[in-house]
Amino acid sequence: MNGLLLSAAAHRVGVEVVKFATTTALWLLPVLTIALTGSLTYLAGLSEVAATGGDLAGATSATNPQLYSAQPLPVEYQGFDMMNIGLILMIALGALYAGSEYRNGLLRSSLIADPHRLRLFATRAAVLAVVVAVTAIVAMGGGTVLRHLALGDQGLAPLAFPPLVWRNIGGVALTWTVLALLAFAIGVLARNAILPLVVIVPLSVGLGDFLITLWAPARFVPPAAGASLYTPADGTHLAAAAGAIVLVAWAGVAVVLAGIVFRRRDA
Amino acid sequence: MISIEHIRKSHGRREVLHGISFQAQPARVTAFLGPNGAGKSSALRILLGLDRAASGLALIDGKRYRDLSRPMRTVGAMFDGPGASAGRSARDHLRWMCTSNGIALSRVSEVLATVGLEHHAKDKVGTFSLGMGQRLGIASALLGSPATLVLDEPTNGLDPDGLRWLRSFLRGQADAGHTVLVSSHLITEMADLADDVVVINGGSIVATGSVAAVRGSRPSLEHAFFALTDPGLLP
Repeated sequence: MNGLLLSAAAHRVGVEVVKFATTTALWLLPVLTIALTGSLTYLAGLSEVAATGGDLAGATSATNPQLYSAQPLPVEYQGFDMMNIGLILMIALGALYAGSEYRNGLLRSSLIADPHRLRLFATRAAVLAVVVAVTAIVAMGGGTVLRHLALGDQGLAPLAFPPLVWRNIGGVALTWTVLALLAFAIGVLARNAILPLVVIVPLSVGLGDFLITLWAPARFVPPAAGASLYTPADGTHLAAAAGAIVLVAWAGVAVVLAGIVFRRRDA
Repeated sequence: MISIEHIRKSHGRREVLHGISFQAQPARVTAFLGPNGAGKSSALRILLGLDRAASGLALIDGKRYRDLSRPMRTVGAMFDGPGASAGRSARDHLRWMCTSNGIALSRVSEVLATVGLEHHAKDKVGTFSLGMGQRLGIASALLGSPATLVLDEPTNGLDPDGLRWLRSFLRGQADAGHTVLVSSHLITEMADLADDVVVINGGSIVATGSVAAVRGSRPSLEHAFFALTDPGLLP
């Protein structure tokens, strides 16, 4: 009996894996994310070394007009400046993955193949979460290693990263996963890929951080809620632990809401 | 056997199915006939669990569709169009459907050959004509070698060759003891094929029975159909 249940679950996951592998946009986005963030993170490291003349810790915008930041970035936070590129691509992935079922009557076939709606929905959300989390860990983990290699003796030894670096990588993975799930949930509710893109992408390209300067409760809106999970604490954003809890709560509420609607609604 | 019992369905305030009941028996082709908008698709969607009825039961061999384990092995369902992503090949579409119900992947090439799409297995569904899309939809219904077929307007867009093939195929399925429920708004296409007829109009069943019984004393099933659904159209 256990074997049968296990194989049924494996079939459900297998279906979504085949759908991912046979839809160009779905497999291309993670590949693109890893390639783009990895290479840009490395190049940005090289340019930073060049701009500071090799003295990363001593350089600020006061002493070097080529630098943006007034304070040198702690070395543990090096390598996460490209996270927004991946974030937007992962939001697109969540939106497309949800929206693809609502084109060409695909959802009808999915429900004929598996009429257990809640199970189908949960499987899809879980597969998306795993794909995004793995993409984040490969893209950001690899990117961070490349960054520190680019920094040379100013950087950390990749084999001896302090825990804070790993926390930051995990923080990016959590933020990407939560935002992708939010886009997925909104895509299911709206039955298309457009609405989640319109709603979530602006928040991820700086609108969220801008809102915080006007209205303090905007701290609780993702992805800004998770900023302290990969950038130094600045007093305006939520602390790391609180940010993580808020992010998970957003994803949880959105996914549960979308799941309830998906179960009840006519296909 | 397919059994629809007192199904009611509303879209908003408008009731589109007024407590309909009918059956489709094994070893017979049951034609589900009615004009566009009569409620055919709505009833079949409820039967397949795609839409939710306000009340009533829709059963296949005594079970609701959603209570079947590996449902494609029991029921083959096809709705208008292929129901597949435009960017995916016909073969890849059928592959994930096989995976979902634990069906051997060898069935993919078998059903593609059955419906005459064997040379288009690698083509993207988006490049298919209307008729090819219908054939792919029929192919997906056949994957699990089901003993019950539920086909919604399968003749839409089929060329004469495809139509002739579909008729003989469905006849063969019924002769093998399978239950075949097929909807259409084209009576002439079904008159020679069907054993039984269910006529729906305006969300209510207006006639059920064998072709001969529904035709009664009228010259053709088509005459009977118009007499039942729109008497004003009769000369």
